[in-house]
Amino acid sequence: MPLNIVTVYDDNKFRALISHHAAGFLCSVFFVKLPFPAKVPSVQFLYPPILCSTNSLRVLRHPHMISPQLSNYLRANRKRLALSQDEVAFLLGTQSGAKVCRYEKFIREPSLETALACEAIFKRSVSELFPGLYQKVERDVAARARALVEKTDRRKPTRQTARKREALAALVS
Amino acid sequence: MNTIFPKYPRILAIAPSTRGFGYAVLEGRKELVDWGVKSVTGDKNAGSMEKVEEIIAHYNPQVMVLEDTEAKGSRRSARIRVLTKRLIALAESREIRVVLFSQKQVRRVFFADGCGTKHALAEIIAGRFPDELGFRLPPKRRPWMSEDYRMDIFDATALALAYLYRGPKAVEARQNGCHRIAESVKKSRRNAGERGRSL
Repeated sequence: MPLNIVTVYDDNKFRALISHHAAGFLCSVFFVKLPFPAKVPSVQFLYPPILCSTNSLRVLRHPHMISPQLSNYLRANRKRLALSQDEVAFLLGTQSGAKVCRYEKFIREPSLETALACEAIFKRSVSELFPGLYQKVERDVAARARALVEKTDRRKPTRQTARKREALAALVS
Repeated sequence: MNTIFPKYPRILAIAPSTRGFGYAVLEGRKELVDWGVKSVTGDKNAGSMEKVEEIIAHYNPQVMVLEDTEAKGSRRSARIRVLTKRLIALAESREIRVVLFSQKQVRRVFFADGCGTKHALAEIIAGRFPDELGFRLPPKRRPWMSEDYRMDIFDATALALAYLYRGPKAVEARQNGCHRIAESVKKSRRNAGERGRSL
């Protein structure tokens, strides 16, 4: 679900890049045609959420904007338990703490086995430990569900398709 | 922590010290995401700046909270004053909102009469985050002891909490101070440029 609205004064450049950038931040993008360079403060007053220029990719952050989720919260949970990276690596069954460091720096994504081991160590669900990753996966599933809804709508309505539509509607919302 | 949809901006608080700096990252429902002390050897300001840049790149904060070293009664060293100015310039270049709090203002947030020791403040913060900081609370400093390095974490967390607990009105008021320092940074740069060396 989009959480933020990004208003972009559009000069028909970098559209795809901005959209991609905003998707990473769970933002929906509205492209607004404005003479460039626009007077940012007045435009920001008109479009308060967030404003960015496609020219410079500078995002003027609204003070009350919602933070994009971090990919994972392994470091916070590790520090809470006063464990070192090597100790967590030992618990995960890996050789050294370097791998844990890469997970914490969002360089590497853990396998399902590692993710479940993290859940066992930190006593938090995988979606809580990896909320950024979870949201990305959730968004992708929702997009695929939308496509499947369209496909299902073309079929003859039966009790089975009605049930299916209900389930897919829940996924899309 | 780990609210799937946090309602607050991510806040990075930095408390520079003689060793390096303490930092705290808050997010979501006033939850600690990261905290710690970074020690720097050699050129402490340059080293600190590098490490702060790494933290900013990792956490992408929306707000940076610092101590107002230009406030009346502040006794921070010249090096830390320069470091604070450089941190403000860094935050501005990354379009991170900077908020400054003086020691007095931080104490006013945590103590009814605005008076309290550093240790008392650390105890309050350890009580607020018992899982994260409870076991990191240093013993009370005796007159012959130097300050424990872990106090930097509590200083940084106090700054971040001060931002959260004070209303937006108070924060806006502090922005004036921030602009004042930003102006002084620009002025220093101009002077340094005239003298042929950077700040």
